[in-house]
Amino acid sequence: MSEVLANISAMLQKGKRKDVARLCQQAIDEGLDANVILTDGLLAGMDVIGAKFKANEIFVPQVLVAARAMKAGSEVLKPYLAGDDASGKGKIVMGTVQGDLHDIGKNLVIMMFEGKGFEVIDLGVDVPTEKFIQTAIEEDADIIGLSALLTTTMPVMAEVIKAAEEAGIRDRVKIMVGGAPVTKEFAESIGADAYTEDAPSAAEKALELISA
Amino acid sequence: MVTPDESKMTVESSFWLPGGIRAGKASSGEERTGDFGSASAVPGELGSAVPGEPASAVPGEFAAAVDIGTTTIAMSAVETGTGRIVKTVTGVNHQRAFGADVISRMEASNRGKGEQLRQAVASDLGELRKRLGLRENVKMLISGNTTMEHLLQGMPCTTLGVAPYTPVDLSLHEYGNMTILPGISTFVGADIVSGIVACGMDEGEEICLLVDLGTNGEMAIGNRDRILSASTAAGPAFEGGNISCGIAGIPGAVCSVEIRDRKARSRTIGGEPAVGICGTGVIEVVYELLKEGLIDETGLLDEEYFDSGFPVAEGVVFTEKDIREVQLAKSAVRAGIEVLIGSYGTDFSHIGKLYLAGGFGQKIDLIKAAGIGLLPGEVLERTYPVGNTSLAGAVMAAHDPAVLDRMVKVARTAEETALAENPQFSDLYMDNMFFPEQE
Ligand code: B12
Repeated sequence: MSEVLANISAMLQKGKRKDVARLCQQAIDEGLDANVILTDGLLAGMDVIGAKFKANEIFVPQVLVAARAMKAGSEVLKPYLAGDDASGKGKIVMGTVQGDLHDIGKNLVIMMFEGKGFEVIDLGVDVPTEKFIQTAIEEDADIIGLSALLTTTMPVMAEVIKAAEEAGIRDRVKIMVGGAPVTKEFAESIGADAYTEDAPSAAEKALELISA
Repeated sequence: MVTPDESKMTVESSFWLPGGIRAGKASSGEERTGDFGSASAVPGELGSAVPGEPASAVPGEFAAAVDIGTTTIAMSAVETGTGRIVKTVTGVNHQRAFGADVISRMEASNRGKGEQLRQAVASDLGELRKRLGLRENVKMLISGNTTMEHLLQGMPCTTLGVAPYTPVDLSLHEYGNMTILPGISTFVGADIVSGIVACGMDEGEEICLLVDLGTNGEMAIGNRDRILSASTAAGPAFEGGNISCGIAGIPGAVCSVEIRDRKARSRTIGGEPAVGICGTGVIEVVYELLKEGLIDETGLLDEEYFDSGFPVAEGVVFTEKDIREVQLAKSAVRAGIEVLIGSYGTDFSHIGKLYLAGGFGQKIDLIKAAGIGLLPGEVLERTYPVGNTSLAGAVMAAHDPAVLDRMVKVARTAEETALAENPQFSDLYMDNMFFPEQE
């Protein structure tokens, strides 16, 4: 692999935003394909970050700075990426359910989704149930991702799933749920398609769901 | 790093001891009798309620001052004329059969168990009153967090647990012999109002901070001109919750740790064989690991212990995941403190005193707590563990009705800053997840 790509990945892991942006530009100037830079530079770096986070070797703030560095790099690459390729693997609508304002876990999941090449529409926190459904329809999303950190807001996830059924999109959209108090059993009991304990596994699971 | 003035601290904290609940012993129903000083819980020069003995003292008139905690209830028999605490007893809050934390109590109430919850705590109050030898209709001044007060008054909890977290009614209530002290919001309750008044924050000119290191991490800053409060939702790590070998402060809990040459020397509560690690032990082990370079500033544990954890005592390990839990909790507290100070428009150099409320605050090693970044080192020498200030405020109110007016005023005028909507909180929360560099 070219040296510049390896450097991009290394700098991304260190969270060096400016270096990542500079190296991405350098790679473009060297005539490398933007998609290759994205995949073998940025996303490769995020993969390492994801694996280390999952293994508990690094923690939330380190993932965050790495993700910021990835963003800086993607900004540089954007104009050079072939139009439809930008949306990559699929579209995910993601948010924290109504009544809940915790967003750190949700943001990590989004970073990992993006690190796997998904396009993510972030609806933020305290998202009304209809908003998930409406956006999923408008954007023709493949997956809806729901996060909840309060035991009192977990039941709202069931409401979103019900609303998806009522809107007639349940067979087209996979629904993933997560957040500290959520368990596999709970996810199954409300009829979600997937639950994972952490963000890197969420991204892997999403790939599985899409290709299934 | 600055060392707190030991002599000053012991003098002042012993002065504080009114009904100070001691972690660990509290649940077994510890009793203390005798001279716990006066109702004034305020250290040194701030003292206000009982300077000397008022002439109007009616001997033999008693009231009960109460703090209803989620886990433990404390009640003091107070001689109303003098404000003297005759005796303090503590006991388990039997609502715990319905869940350990406030959220699970709210949920139980929402499932129709409200009346059972009310009866559980009412009978606990009756029990404690009997143990104090007080008559049936003795005047009771009751402080507690918002959920506890709602449940006691039979108010529905349906709006407490979901955004925007509106309480039913937090004003001062009188029911016959019972006075329910007023609160500020769903997450900053009467226990904090009581603490603010007990520390004299509402009367002094000096800007002080009050921090409760419990699961909900309530805190307040201010002086007589303005008080601002917040709650940071730290979680139960400092109560041993979510820690792999974590337990409450019961006999056999590792409460103090020293590490040298990669070997831990631990002390347990009561000197019993180790059965787990409690909150103070958690803080100490993290500090010691940092000091020995076995954890780096990102929280990464030395390779040797990464997979199986660091052996703290026979059968007790501290794992990488435990360190992550501590990072989440300590950063919530620290970031909360920083946002509060910033929102108040001041900085550490202008903070007169930091009062640490609660039994846990009395037990921790302040230097180690600052060493892991939980407490700000900048105010370490002005940090005072003050015990159960919720009870202390109720005791003051039992003696002096004017204290009730102060509480009502604090509850009405204190502001609350919503950390969830504060972008600065998120940034500080990330920054403070790292550990400070050790000298
Ligand atoms: C930080 C924090 C806050 C911050 C939030 C800041 C923010 N912007 O998010 C502030 C201070 C604002 C806050 C407020 C409150 N909080 Co809070 N908070 C926490 C805390 C300390 C950490 C949560 C966190 O960020 N964890 C780190 C992230 C990375 O973990 P995570 O979210 O679980 O995400 C991981 C996985 O779950 C998964 N995942 C997450 N989402 C998804 C989604 C999908 C689809 C998938 C597949 C996976 C997945 O991937 C992530 C990474 O691997 C916890 C206690 C603790 N120590 O854990 C309490 C806690 C969650 N809060 C709690 C409470 C009660 C509150 C408040 C209601 C009360 C209060 N005292 O203020 C308010 C409510 C605000 C609201 N309306 O939501 C309680 C919940 C208790 C319960 N039984 O429900 C906790 C547990 C603390 C406690 N008291 O015990 N809180």
